[in-house]
Amino acid sequence: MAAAGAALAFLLAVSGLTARIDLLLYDLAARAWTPPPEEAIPDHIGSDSGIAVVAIDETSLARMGRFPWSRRFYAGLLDGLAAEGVRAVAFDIIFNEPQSDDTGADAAFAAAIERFGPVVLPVLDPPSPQGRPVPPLALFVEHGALTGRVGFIADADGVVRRLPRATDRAAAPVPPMLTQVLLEAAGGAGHSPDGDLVPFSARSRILVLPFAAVLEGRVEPGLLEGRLVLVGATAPGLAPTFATPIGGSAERLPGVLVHAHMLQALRAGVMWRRIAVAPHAVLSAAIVAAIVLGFGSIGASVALSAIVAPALIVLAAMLLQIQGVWFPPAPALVAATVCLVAWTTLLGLEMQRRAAAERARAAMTLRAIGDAVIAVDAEERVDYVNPAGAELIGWESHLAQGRAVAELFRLETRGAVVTSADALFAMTDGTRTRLVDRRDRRHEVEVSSARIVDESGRPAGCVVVLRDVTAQDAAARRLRRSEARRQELERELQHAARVSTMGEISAAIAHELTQPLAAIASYAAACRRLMTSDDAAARERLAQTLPKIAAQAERAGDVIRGLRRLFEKSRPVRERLDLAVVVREALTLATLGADRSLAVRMDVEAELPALRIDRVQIQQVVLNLVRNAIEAMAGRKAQHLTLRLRREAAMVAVDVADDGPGLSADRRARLFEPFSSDKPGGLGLGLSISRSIVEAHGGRLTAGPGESGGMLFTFTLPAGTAHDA
Amino acid sequence: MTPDTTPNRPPIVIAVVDDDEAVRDALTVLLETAGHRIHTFASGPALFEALDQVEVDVVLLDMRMPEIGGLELLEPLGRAAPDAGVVMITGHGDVPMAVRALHRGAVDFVEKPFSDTRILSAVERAAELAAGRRARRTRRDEARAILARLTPRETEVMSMVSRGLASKQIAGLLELSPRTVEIHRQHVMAKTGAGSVAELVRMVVRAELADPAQG
Repeated sequence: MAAAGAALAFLLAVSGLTARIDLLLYDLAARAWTPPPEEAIPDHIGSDSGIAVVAIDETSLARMGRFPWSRRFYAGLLDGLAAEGVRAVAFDIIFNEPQSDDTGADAAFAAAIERFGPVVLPVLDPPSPQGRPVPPLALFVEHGALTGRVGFIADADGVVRRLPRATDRAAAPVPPMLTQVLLEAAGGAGHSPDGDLVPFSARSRILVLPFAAVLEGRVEPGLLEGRLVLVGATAPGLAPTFATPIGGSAERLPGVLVHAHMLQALRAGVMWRRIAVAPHAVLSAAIVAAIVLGFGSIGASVALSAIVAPALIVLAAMLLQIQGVWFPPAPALVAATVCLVAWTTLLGLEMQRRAAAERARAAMTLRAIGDAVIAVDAEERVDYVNPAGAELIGWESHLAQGRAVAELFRLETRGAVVTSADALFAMTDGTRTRLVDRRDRRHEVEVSSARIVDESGRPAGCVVVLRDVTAQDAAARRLRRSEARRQELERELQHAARVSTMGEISAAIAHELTQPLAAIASYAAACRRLMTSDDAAARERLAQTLPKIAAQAERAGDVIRGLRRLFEKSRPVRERLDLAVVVREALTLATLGADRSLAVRMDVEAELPALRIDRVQIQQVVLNLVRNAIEAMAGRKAQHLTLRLRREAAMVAVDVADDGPGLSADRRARLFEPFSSDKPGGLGLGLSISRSIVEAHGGRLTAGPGESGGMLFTFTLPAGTAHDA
Repeated sequence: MTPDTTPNRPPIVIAVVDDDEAVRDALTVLLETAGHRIHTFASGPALFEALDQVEVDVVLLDMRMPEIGGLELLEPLGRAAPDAGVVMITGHGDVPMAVRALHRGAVDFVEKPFSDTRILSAVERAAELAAGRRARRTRRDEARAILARLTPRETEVMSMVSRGLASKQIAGLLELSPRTVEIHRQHVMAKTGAGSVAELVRMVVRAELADPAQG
C-alpha cells in the first residue's frame, strides 16, 4: 500500500496531472497565510515599498479628457516627476506608433525622456507566435528610452503568478520585463531573482497617485522622493486586467498594478521559487509512504484522514511564506487520499466480511441447535424460527415469520390453554408445559424465554427456547415398563437355556428311548410267533412276555414325560415341595446317557422342611449344575458326583460336588457372567440363569473348590416361615 | 417249543451281549421262539469267560456299552471265537460306527429298534458264514494232519512235485538219483492217499489256507 501510494505520488508529480489543483492550492497558500508584521517582514509588504503608481484613473480622465492623451501630458509628467526627485519611471502605456494629430508631441516627449534619464517604455509581445516583439517608436529610443516587456505569462488557469521564463517562448528570446529594466535603470538592485514566482500579497501597500494630481503638482512634497514610478491605466475598460493569486479572476488587477507587485518583489529580492521536478516527485512519494505507514501503525480512522489533507496544505503554505519555496502538495495529497480511501474501503470490506461471518456463525448455531429457538420482536411477531423450532411447531420458517405467536401454536398448562405472549414470555426457567402444534399434535416442552432490550433499554422482543421432552418422557415410561419386560425376558432366557441344555443331551435321550423301544419290538415279534403255537409252554411264555411289553412302554413314557416337563415354557409357580424329590428327578434326567463309570451319590439330611419353590426352575438349576459336573469329569476313569441336601441356618443348602480338574480362581470369578462359556457350542448362560433363579427364590448360588480337587457348587433356598407352609 | 427248527439242522447257538437287561430278555424270548439257543451276557468280559465252555455260532454285539464298547470287542472276539459270525446292534445315529465294524470283520449290523425278520435273517446269515468257516477249518486241519506225517525229505519232494517238477528235475536239484526220488514220491502218494498229483496239489493248498476269520 505504501509503495503503491508513493509510486502514485511520484507519477503525479512528474506528469503534472495535478497541476491545476496545485495552482488553486498555491493561491490559497499565497494569500491565506501571512506571517505577523513584526517579524521578518519583507519591505515589499510594508507601507512604503519605494514604489509609486501614477494611475490614469477615472478622476484623471475626468479632468484631462478622453484617452488617448497627447504625449505632451507624458512629457509634462516626466518633468514633474523629475522635479519631485523620482529615480526612474516606466510606462505601461503603448508608444509604438507616432501621435498623428500633433506632430510636435512625440518630439516633446522624446525631449522629456532625454531630460529625465531612466525611462522605460514597453515592448509588445508579438501578435502571433511566429512574429517579432513590437518595440516603441525609434524616436524615443534614440532619445535614451529603455525598453522592457509588458506582456505577462498566465498559467493554465489564466492566472498570472510569475515572470516569463526563457522556456515560455521557443521562437524568439524573451526580452526582460519592464520592471526588471526599470529596477536595473534605477541602479538599486543588481541581483537577479532566484525564482520566478511573484509573491502577490494582499497586505502590500502600493502608493497610487492619480495622473492628473501629479501633473498638476498636487502631490505632498517629498512623497515621490527617490521612488520608482510606474505609469499606467487603472480606469475600468481602459487597460487590460489580469487575474492574480490575491484577487483571482473575480478581482482582476490592472496591468500596471501587476507590474507594481512584481517590481516590489524584484526590488526586495524575495521572489518565490517552485521546487524542481525531481525532488518534488521523490519528496511527494516519501510523504505518502510515511503517511500510509503511519496509518498502518496507528490505525486508520476517518478523523485522522480528515487532518492529513489540511495539514499538508498548511505545511506547504508555511514553506512558501517562510522559505519562499513552493512545494506543490497535490500529488502527495491525491495519492495519500487515494490510499486512505482504499484503506478505509478495504477496512470496511473486512469489517463487513467479519460481520457477515459472525451472522453466518450465529445462524448456523441456531440452525444446528437441537432446541427450538423462536425470536419475537417488540410487536410480538415472530422474527426468526430455527429449523428445530419449525419442526416442533409445524410451520416452515419463512411462513412463520411475521405472524403472531398465538397464531403458530398453543400452550396447554394443566389443561388451560395459554395464548397470550406475555404468559409465554413469563416462562423463564424451563417451565414444563404442553405445546399444541399446527397439526394439533401435542409435545411436552420445557420453555425458557428471555426478553431482549435494545441499547436504550426499551423492550426489543423476546427469545423463546423450547425443548421437546416428549421423547424423554416416553423413555421414562419405557424404563418403568422395562422391569416387567426384564422379568419376561429372563423367563424366555431360562426357557432358551433349557432348550439349549436339552439339545446337548438329546442324543443321549434318543439312545435312552431306543432301548425300551427295541425291547418292545422284540417282545412283540416273539409274541406274534408264540401266538401261532398251541404248545402249552409257548402259551405260558406269551403270558409272561406281554406285561414286559407294557413295562418297557412305561419306561419310554417316563423318559418322554421328563423331557416334556423340561421343555415347557412355564410361568414360575411356587409350590410347597419336597426338595429331595425335586432334586432327584432332575438328577435322573441329568444323568441320562451319562458315562457308566459315573458314580452318583445323593445324601439327604433327615427332616428337611418342605420349601415353596418353582419345581421346573429348581430342577433346571440342578440339571445345569449336574451336567456341568459330569462334563468336567468327562474322560476320567473314576467319576464321583456327590449331591448333599442339608440344613444351613434358616436355609436349605444343596451341594453339587465333582472330582474333576476344578477351575482356576480367575475362571471361577467369571463363572457367573453371561456368555462366558468355555464349552464349545455352549451359550454360557446356564450358570448366570441358575444364579438368577436361586436369587429370585431368595437364596444364593456360590462356587468354590471341592474337597477332592473338583468344583463344589452350593445353592441355598430359604426354609420358609410358618405361614408359608 | 421250537417250531421253526428243521429236524435235520442243529439249533444256532447265539450269544447276546447287551448292557440293557430288558433288551437282553426281549432278544432271548424272540430268538428262542425262533428255535435258537441263547446265551446272554451283560458285557464283553462276561462273554469271554463263557467262550471256553460254549461254542457259539453267532454273537449279537451291542455297539454302545459302558467300559468296553462293541467295536473294541471285535478284535479279541475274532481270536477267541474265530468262526463265529458277529452281528452289531446299534442305537440311533451309530451307523457310521457300524460301517467301521463291518470293516473290522462284523457280518452285519442291525439298528435298534429292529423288526424280527431283520434280526432273524441277520442271525441266519451269520450262522451260515460260521458254518462255512468251520467246514473250511476242518478240511485244512485234516490236510495239515496228513502232510505232517511225511519225513522232511518226503516233504521236500512233495513240494517240488506239487509245483509240477518231473522226477529227473527233482533228482538234479536234490542231488539224488532219479530212482531215489521215485521211491520218495511213491511214499508221499501212499501216505497222503492222494490218487493223483492234482489231488495232492489241492491238499497242499488247503493246508496252506490262512485263518478263515481273517480271510
